Amino acid sequence: MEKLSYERPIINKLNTGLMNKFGTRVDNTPVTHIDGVPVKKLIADFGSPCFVISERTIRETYRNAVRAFSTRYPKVQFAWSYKTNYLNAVCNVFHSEGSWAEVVSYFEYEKAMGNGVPGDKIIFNGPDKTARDLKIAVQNNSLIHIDHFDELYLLAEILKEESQKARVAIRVNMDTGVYPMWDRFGFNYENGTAWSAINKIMANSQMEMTGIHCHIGTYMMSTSSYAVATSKLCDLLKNIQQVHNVTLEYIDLGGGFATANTLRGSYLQGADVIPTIDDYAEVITSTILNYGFRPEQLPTLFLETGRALIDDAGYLLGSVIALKRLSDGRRATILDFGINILFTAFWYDHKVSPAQNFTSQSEDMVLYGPLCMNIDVVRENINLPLLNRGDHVVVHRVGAYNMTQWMQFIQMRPKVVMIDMQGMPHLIRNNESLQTITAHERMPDHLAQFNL
Amino acid sequence: MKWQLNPKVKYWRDTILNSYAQIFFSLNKTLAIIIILVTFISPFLGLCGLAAVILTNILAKIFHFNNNLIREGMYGFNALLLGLVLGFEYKLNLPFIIVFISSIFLLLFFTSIIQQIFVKYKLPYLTIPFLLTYWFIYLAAGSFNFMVLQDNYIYIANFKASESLSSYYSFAHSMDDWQIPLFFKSYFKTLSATFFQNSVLAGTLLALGLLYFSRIAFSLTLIGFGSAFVTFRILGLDTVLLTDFLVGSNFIFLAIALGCFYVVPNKWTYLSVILLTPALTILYIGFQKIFFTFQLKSFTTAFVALTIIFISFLNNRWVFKYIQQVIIQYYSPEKTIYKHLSSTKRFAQSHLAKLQLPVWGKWKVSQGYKGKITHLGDWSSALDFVIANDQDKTYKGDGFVVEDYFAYNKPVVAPLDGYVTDISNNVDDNPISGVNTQENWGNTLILDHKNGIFTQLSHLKRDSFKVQVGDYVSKGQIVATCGSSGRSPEPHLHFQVQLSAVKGSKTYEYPISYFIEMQDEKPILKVFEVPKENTIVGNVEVAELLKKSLQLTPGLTLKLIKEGSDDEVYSWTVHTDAYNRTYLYCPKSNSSVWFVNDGVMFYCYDFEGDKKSVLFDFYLATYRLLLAPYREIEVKDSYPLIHFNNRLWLSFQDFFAPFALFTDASFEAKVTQCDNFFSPKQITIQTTATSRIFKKKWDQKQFELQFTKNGLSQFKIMKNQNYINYLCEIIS
Repeated sequence: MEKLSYERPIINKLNTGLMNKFGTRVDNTPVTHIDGVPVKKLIADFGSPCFVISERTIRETYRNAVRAFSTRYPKVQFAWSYKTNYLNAVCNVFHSEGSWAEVVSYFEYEKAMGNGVPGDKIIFNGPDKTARDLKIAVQNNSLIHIDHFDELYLLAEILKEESQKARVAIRVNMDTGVYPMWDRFGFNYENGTAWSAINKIMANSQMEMTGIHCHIGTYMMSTSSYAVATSKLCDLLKNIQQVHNVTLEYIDLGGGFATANTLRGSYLQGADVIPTIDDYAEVITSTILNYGFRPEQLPTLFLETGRALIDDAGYLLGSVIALKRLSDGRRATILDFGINILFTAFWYDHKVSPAQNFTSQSEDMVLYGPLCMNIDVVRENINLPLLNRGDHVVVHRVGAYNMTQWMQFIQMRPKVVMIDMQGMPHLIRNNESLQTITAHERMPDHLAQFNL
Repeated sequence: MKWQLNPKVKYWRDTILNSYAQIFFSLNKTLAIIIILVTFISPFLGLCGLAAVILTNILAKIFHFNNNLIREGMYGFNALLLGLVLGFEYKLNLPFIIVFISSIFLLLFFTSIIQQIFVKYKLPYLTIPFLLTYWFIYLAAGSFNFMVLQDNYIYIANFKASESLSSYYSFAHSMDDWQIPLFFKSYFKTLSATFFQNSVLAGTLLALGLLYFSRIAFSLTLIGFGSAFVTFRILGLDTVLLTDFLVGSNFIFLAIALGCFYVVPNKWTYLSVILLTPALTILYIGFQKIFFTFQLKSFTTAFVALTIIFISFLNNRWVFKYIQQVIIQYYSPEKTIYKHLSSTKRFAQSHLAKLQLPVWGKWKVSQGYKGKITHLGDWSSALDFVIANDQDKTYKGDGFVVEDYFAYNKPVVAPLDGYVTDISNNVDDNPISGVNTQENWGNTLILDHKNGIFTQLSHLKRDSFKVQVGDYVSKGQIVATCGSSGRSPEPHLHFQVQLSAVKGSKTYEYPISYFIEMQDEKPILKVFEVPKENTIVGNVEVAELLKKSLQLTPGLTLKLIKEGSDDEVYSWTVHTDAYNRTYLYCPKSNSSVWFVNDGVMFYCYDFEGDKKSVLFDFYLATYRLLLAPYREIEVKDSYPLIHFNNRLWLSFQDFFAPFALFTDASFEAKVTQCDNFFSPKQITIQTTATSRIFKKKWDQKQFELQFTKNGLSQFKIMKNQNYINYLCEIIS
């Protein structure tokens, strides 16, 4: 018989008769394996903390999304949103599934080119495109989604020296009934700037308008706003057809589909309130199909959803550094990762699971990160089984944004591992070292030496 | 610029030559010239034959008979035989000239009326007009005192003596005394006796002419004559009889007519030639006896009678098995068989309506034809569709409610154009695992496709119908959404083809014209097949760019300019012919390519004309193109063997073509470049024509077709590292 592990004594307040909708039960299940690989082994091999990405989950999620759209609409093309997770291995999983690339900066553009995405299958979004960026995008025949008039004029200026035509679209913002309205990107629909931009593009013989783009927000919990957005884009498409006799190739609905992560301050669990990918697909495709396009003139539907395709595939593994009792009596657990690498902890109440078996006892606690900063809180309040120093935890749904927005603050960024379809872990990004950080530093000569 | 004949001169040249060649069911000019030479061994005979041919055709032209029939020699070949026989039997004098001219009139009258009658029964009239005219003249001429019989008609010896004086007579008969096996000597003599000659040399020339015209026809004449020879021996008839004027010819004509001309040559037609020979012998002797009463010669009566009887016998069949009749007459047994072999392989099902799958995206066939669950008995030819994920699950979550199922509420589209004849929309969805056997079909839509077939789509979602009874829907249009009503334990779509508009009629086996089957995550193209159970299938995603680029409608012109030399320009125009077949015509080379664009596939199905022309290369290059830019799909096909083959090997192949093929000409097409799957602007398709002999590569040509926004923009022909590029443009 295995030796029973030590369990420290706790005092729990007994709640009797206090009813709430969900009762007092807490659903903690140990997560000892990810895609068949033991968490212990992953931590032993790759260190703690480390990010783990499941290739299987990516492909399943992607195929579910494609199925949801392509069984409802004949022409659907996904473009992988680089900013959500631009680790090359992750991008290439999407590209191998047939996804194009959607980039928002020249850095991402170069990354996509480096991954072997053909120039004409890169969608170039974002408000910051320099003259050089635009020039290269034109030469590569990429799809340029214009964000503002200054970019439009700059592009017109550049095209004077180019023999090639530029394939362009405009990003449109609009009132879809949600707050806040994302009107800082693109041209507004209601006040007519979008139409004026379209007219300017149509007047330029070197610009070929190929599509129209919008991105109404992020973590959108209502599908009806997509119906409004889609119908407004269809309006524009139809008007362009009537006024300019040009049939645009595509409409790009951007992304913003929510994931099962629970937003901070949300009363209900994320999984219970968010629409499914099928709900989004139903609203978007039925709006286009009911709009009245001739079958052969149906535009291709582009989708740039990022979060909804990668979030579930990412895990963060970490360990308990220390346990504390706070001044007000609450339990505090300090983990070896914090908001430095789990940036999304600012927005979400991430689901955290212990990585080993435990008893039925649990207690409320605060999860802190290792940073010397007061804001480094992973969970303000969470009910977990009793953890000991050295125990492992698994944070769920961390695939989106963390591996792009993480920061190097007092610590180095950890390893990222991908578990392939056969259950083999591969290192896809090594941890940073002192050398990584200092290699870019330069020392003025007069500071090179000192005596203490 | 090539020197070109005046079209009128060409017309008359063709008319006269074809009238000669038609005797052997051919339009071969070399054979015609050989026949003319042979008839002129006796100059008067030859002259009479030529005069009859010319006069008949002039008369037919004056009376405005069908120009094409005149040109094909359909009026001339009877006249040739008549001219020859008159020249052979009578001496030249005034009464002869009068009788000769009026006999031409008579012949044309007979031809005209017999043609009208026989055409109705789809029967050929062969040499009936000649026989009728000849018999009447012969019977009448006996009473005309001033018509003088040729001496040679009374005694063959006289004929020999009268002509042996001329120097070329001895040349013409120089081979007569050679030591040749009796069978071949008889064969040659029989051939020359067709034209009232008795020369082995003439027969040899005719045999060579036949060999040049067609290997198949030539070998059949040998088989026909051979079996006659054997039959005569066995029955105790004198084989010398065969070499008499127009006697053995019966067997030779029959062999060509029923071995390879009116039917597609194969082992069964060869066998029928052999089996019909004793019957022909009986008919011949019988006719000979009957006609002897009137002192008449039956000539080719036996052949005419048996051929007509046999063809009408073939026509009477309900299923055209073993022996296939020729529908389009190419006047070349080789062309006929190679084109027949290729088209039966390629278009055996082209008469079927082109159904698509009634869904969008990739669906799984959960129950196929003869499915074990409900596709039983009279209702076995039906398909059930669901959507499954990679784990083969058809639902997400727990699958306790219909909304969890991927198939639920997904668009269902019309598989083919048609009228909505029936909609039942009164059944609610079952709870999962529940079945409603009262309303077996659930909510159902029936389409009448106005071509004898109806399709039924069942278990639809209540109130999801986008159409009404009486609406005309087009292929691919959304009609309703998938539900789970009726006998449906989980959301799925039931699809069946039937022959009546009644809901739940018995099913009718019918293939889907084109669809994609996923195998190991790769698309495989299926053509005219029924999707199999447990396969993942989807419709072919057609690229508008390809579809429009190859939408060559009559009135359009495809212009090609050779890169680097602006003066080499071709203008190919699109036309339709009498059968409503669309073709591209190149006036420079007088060549045509027949093609079809059915919206999913572009394919050429025939070429006639100059095989050195650029249009011929275009035909090879565009033989079969899938109008969708799947890079993983390689489209394969094979050409008729006459179109891409080594000439020498092909002539060997000809002898065996009715039995087995050892050469092969294959086509392959692949999309090598496509900028964008859904709205492509640039697509390159590379195609390859390969000829093989005994499976060994012999010759290869590669082509590249480049399509841009303006349609076909470049056509590249590559051979042995050299290439020629043509810039293309479509002008309306």
